[in-house]
Amino acid sequence: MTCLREWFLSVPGHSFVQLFDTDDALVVQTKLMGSSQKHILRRSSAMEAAVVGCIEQGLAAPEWEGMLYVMGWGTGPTFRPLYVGKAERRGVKHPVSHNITNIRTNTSKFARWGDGLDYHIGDLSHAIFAFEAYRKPSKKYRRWASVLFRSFDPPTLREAVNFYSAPWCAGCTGPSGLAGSLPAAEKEIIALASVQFEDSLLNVDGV
Amino acid sequence: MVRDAEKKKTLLHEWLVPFLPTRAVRILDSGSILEKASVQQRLSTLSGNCPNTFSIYVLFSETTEGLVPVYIGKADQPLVRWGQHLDGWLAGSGVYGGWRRALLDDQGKARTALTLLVVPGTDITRPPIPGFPTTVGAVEYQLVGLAGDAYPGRLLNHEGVGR
Repeated sequence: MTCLREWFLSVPGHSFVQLFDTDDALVVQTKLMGSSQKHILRRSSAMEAAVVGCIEQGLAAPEWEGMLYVMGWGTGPTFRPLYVGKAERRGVKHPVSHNITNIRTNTSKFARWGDGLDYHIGDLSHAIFAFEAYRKPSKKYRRWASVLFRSFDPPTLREAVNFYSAPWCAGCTGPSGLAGSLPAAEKEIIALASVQFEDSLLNVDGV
Repeated sequence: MVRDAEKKKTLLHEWLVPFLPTRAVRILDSGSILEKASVQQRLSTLSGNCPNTFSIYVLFSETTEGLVPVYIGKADQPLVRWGQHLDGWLAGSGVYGGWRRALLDDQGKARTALTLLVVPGTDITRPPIPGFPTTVGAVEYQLVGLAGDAYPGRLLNHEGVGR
């Protein structure tokens, strides 16, 4: 079977960085936001730099279609994917998605890893700290919280969580070896990960 | 854009076509009105070949370029799931507004004939993409990825389709 780990390492321009800002005991640092002073998990500065770099360089290149990302444990040849996703250049309604515009200051969306609700960091923080919001924490992020964190107070990771990212351009080839779109590559990755990392993958479709 | 669209089309059809003679039924003729009872009656002819097991289903539009996949999904009970799809499609609510616009004209008549293929997981012996898994979920995602690039803009699935 096609080896997904080997493919991850073969993608031009890929990088692995720590996802969260943690101390030596794997406690994730938080920030207080809004009038209700909600606790929000902090992204690492390396992760923020990787995303800003990928998006800014990408938007300057017409052939760039978006950013592939994978949250996981381990790194390089021992990487174990937990969640596979993408931030596409095009939005549903706009030529450039609002998820990636003004990326340096767009902390609420931040290429889908923003602090706001309906974005990964905001939803995960909601699941961990259970702050008041217009809806309850979703089942998806309650699952993320229980898988990633050993305790919620203080928020302590079971294991360091890493963030793989890679730019996706026209002509890039997915794990199938065929050139294709970023959404098609994402589907190929999840199809493989659903079997090769069956016990840890948090994507709920395609498995 | 550089896409291996033709190769993806070939992989897609090499996997799907062998199932068509025994696992597919035309659910709507071109120009006919969408009616739940009529579609369910046609689906019932699949019953012997459409057991209540975890299955992949593919809705095809019968076009001049051949069978074009327009929706790909999976379900534990495909006939029950299709009852839900038909209710949504008839109401045109939510995501099914896209189904109505793409598949029916202003009078609610089918723009093309539509065929549904249902493949039980137990029938899957090889993957659409060589070297890939054969579980129902993995095959569904392979098909969505292949169809999204092979037939840009045609697939009604919301995930896995380029913008």
